[in-house]
Amino acid sequence: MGKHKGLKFLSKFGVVAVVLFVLLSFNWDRIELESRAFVVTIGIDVAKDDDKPFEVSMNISDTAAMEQGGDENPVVKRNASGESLAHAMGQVEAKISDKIYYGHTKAVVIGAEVLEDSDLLREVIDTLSRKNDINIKCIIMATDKTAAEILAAQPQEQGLLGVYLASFYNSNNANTASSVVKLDLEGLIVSLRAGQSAVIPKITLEGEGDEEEVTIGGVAVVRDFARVGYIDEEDMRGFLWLTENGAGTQIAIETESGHTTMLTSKSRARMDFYEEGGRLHCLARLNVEGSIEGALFMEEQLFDADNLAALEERFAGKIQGEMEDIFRILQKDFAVDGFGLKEKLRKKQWGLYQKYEEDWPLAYDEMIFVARVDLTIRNTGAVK
Amino acid sequence: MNVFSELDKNIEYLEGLFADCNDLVKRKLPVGPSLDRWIYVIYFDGMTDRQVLEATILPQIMASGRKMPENFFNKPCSLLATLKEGGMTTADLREEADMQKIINVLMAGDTAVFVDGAEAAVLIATRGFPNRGVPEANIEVVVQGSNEAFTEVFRFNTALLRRRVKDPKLKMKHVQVGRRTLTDMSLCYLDDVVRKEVLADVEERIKNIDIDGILDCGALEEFIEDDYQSPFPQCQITERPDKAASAILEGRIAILVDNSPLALLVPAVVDSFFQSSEDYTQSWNITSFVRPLRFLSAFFALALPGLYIAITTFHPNMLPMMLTLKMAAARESIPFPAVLEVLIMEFAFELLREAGIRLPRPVGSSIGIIGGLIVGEAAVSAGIVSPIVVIIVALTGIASFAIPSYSLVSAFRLAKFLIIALSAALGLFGFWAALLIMIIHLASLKSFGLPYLFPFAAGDINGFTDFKDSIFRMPLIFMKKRPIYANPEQCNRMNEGKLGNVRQKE
Amino acid sequence: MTETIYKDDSFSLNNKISLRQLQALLFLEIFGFGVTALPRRVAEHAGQDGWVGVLLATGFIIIMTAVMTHVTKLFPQTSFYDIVGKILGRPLGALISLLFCLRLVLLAAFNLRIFAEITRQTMLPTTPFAVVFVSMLMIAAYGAAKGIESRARVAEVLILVVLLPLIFVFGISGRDIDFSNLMPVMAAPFESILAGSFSAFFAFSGIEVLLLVGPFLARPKHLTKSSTQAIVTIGIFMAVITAVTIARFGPANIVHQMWPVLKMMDTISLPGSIIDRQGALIMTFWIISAYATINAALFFSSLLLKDVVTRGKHSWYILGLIPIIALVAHWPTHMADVYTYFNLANRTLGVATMIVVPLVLFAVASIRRMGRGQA
Repeated sequence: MGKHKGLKFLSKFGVVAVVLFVLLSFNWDRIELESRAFVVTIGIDVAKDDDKPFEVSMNISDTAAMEQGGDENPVVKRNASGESLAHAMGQVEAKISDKIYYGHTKAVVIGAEVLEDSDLLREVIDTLSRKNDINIKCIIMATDKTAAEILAAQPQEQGLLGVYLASFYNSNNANTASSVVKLDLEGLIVSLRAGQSAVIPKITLEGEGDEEEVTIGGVAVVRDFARVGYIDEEDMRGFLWLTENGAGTQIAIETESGHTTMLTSKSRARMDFYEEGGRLHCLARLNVEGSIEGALFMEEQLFDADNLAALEERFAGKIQGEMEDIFRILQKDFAVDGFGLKEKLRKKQWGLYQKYEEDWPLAYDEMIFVARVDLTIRNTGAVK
Repeated sequence: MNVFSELDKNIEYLEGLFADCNDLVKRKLPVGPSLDRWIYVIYFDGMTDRQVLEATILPQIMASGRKMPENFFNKPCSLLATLKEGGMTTADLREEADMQKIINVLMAGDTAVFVDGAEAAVLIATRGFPNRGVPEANIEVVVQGSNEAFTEVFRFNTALLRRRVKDPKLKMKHVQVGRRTLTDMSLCYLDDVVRKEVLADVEERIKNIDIDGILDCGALEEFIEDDYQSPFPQCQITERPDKAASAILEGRIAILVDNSPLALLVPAVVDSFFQSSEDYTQSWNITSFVRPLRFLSAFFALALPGLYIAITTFHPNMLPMMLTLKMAAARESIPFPAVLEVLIMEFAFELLREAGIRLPRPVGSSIGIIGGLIVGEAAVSAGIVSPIVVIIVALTGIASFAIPSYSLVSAFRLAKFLIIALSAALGLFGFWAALLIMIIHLASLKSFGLPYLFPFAAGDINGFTDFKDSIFRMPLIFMKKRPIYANPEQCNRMNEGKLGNVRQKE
Repeated sequence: MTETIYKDDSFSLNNKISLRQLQALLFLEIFGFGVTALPRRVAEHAGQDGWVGVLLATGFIIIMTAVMTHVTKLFPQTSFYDIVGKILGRPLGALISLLFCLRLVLLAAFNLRIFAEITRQTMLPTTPFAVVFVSMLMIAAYGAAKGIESRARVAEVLILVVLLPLIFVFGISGRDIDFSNLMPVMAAPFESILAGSFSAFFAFSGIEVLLLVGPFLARPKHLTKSSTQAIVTIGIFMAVITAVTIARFGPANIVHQMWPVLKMMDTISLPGSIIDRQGALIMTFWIISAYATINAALFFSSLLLKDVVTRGKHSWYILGLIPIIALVAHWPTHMADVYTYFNLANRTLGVATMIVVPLVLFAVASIRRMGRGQA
């Protein structure tokens, strides 16, 4: 009996060991790190071929070249076309030996022609949100060229366009440099779902030939899933103020004694709604704080209390003008609810929302925008 | 069987029994004024203190035996009585009539004196055998604090405990296990603090062992622990008398086994394997810093290789992108899959560990250098393993050395492979499946009725007070109650009193 | 041997659990899987006021908890089969026990399927369902076979493993979340909030085990109080998570997320970039929750079967239930079917076991003045 029991006991552990080895020999989802192709940037274009509407270009990190040293961030560029976006993305896989992996995709660039066709854009959004691998926080960019051209160009200091975009937005220079808005996949889905419209930041190429560089600035405006136009950088500053992304922006005004520049350190916007004379009013109150960065040397009286107040007023006037401009452009030129005002109205004024919800486009078109800016200069620099 | 009254019969019996035992020393010698009465002295050479025996005891027997008046010798038993009462200058002797008991004691190093005509023998405690004194602790080394360790000599061990706990309530109950080895064991506990039901349980389990021999603590542990199939130790083994003493004060039982330089502490819970005796000689805040580190290192020792496999081969999106790309680049020329790479390195490391123990001490340190540095470096530069795997395996090894208990680490070494296998098959799901299996297993364990995961599970049976000395250690003045091991009637170990600089606050 | 030595005042009783351990078991069993789809299901009805529906459902569950624990306390140390047998007679006792058993099996199968679907979406896209089913069922069966005492201790450990990351993630999620999405408060019509609370009610599936734990409680005196505490905690956690999740996605978008809580935990950006996406890490939460629910269902359904059949060990019945649960879990072809069947099961069996049976037992026992003294 004793011997038998001991054997049974041993065989129990034997079974466990065998099961473990069998498990090890299966690999359903196990993919070695070096056999993955890390897609960093995806570009989506309309293909020339009519049967295959989509052309997809991808920037894939070239880990094999990385191992051999040399180039900091070597990249492999591949493109393929397909009958649908998903099909086209699958076709790229046929052109490389490794397994495509979207887990580290940083940015998606949507080509100019895709944005013109509402069906194509719908398909793009649906396919991207259905791919669970793709982070819904990845950056979305529109371009006025083809996405393939953008992906083919070399960004200034980074080999990988996606990484360049991610670090560009992470560091604060997005505002100071070129007053750029940021949009991720989730934000795009939310705003398209809420009002069928969106404001997508634009990426383009500047320069000729070898000097060609990618630059970020301005936006593409989308209504009913199709592009209705572009807004350039200058006008987008007002957008930043109204979406609370204004902190860090530089504004310059011309005074009697030359240029004065202010760097904003705090910017709070609050939008309220009220009804007056049978029309919906939108009141935007902006609270800005900033410091003087540069004025004319030796102009000391500039910083008297009186002068400072006058200066504040002029800065405030400029900001107010910028806000009114962008609001008018979006409202009148494009009829796009770029600020999600409908949602804001629902959250803040339930009663008014129920009244105007029925015919929102009309209500929006007739809306009167009132902007108030409260600006304080906190700091005039170290020079007395 | 009793001692015969005829001396020759006894001699015949003993010499028959101990035929071919050349370590036995026996001598028949005459005593009495006319040298006509015989006594028979028998002992094992090397197990007795010959110095004491030959310089003091034997001369005294001879002297007192010959000086006695004639008439005194007529009654055979009185010679025995004389020897016992006044014949020897030692207090440690007794009269024994049972032959089997005499033999047992003889083999433990005592000396027996048979007297012609008496149906009993005098047993003189002359145990003294070669030993290495009280050695220095070398498994559980501490920086601050006592560095004495238990030794192979049973009596020294009990003395080491008695020196630390000078309480008549400290009992050392004697039990003997092993039909052939007759191993002496002693259950050391504080009579009023120990839980009676635990003591009874321990005694019963030891009594139930029926085996030819037990040579060390480890074997005893396997016989008395609740679940012998588990790799996890359910008794705590220590070489430090101060640890054993503090366990006894908490109400636990220390089991000393003759010839073993270790003590077995029961009951033991998983928490007790993370405590080192240095924890109480250091300040509480440094201990509270080090303890979580030990738990963390336990997690690393267990889970790091599995986690590495799960994340790199299944979920690379969890790591920052640049790190993933670097790791992928480093793996680009490696011919093996990540699992195999980790397994090769783990086996190499286990090999090193095993070889390091076997090798003579002067060579031992060089194998660490050769194995760890040179082979590792060569393997990386030959492109057989990636540097990150070397880092992972080395970290796992280092982490395993940060846990104070050797036996717990051994269990982790095994469990690690379960985690590696499941992680390699099912990614993080497999990783968690393996951890769940381990947690279920640990939760189902009990050590002498005490849940093994106490106080992390079932902490409420002691009102959660045991958390004061668990992941963190509170200052000693807060630990007024004894841990769970103690009898509830004796749960207070400290009374309220003035502590520290008592004048300061006045 | 140990049974004879260790008595009441000792460390722990064999096959008995404390009320605190019961709380941990309840929390793990109900909370994790209840909350997976909850924000979407209540938001479908009540929009941004979904969390109010959750609170309403919690209130109703508290009443049912009081009813169930009252019945359990009337017959201390008595199995469910015997309780029903005493109140309604043996044949009905067997019938209702089997009804509960069926309910628990379906609950386990549903949870298993959802778990496998989530796993397929987030972690293992091509691993066959059968592998996930079998490995999860094996672990749950291993835990269930070890008995109630071990289950309770496992729960006490796991609750820390579940709660700490959850609180951590939700604690630092603040900057990602636009709480204005919860405005306007209480604007949804009362009927839709009520409809939301009806579907939230079934997030508490598994509460029926309060009728079954009778024989395992060492001291059931404060059973009502402690289980109410547990339910209130679960309810508050669920309401907070519902509110935060709705705030994160907005009431309009949340209805498009199959498992919004999962998506939310996956995409919250943690400060510092040690971990890029914590989705796979957060899977620990679902793995443990699935384990806890399936483990509880396996344990109690095998006990019910054993009580009705009156022979054998409960671990045999666990082994027998494993293929049944796996097959039922495999039955629906896609997710929409899964939820259709589950809603159907909830509206029939769920209502029967969570509302009708406890109320009938309570009423008959009160009318016949049964319990304690004469039991």
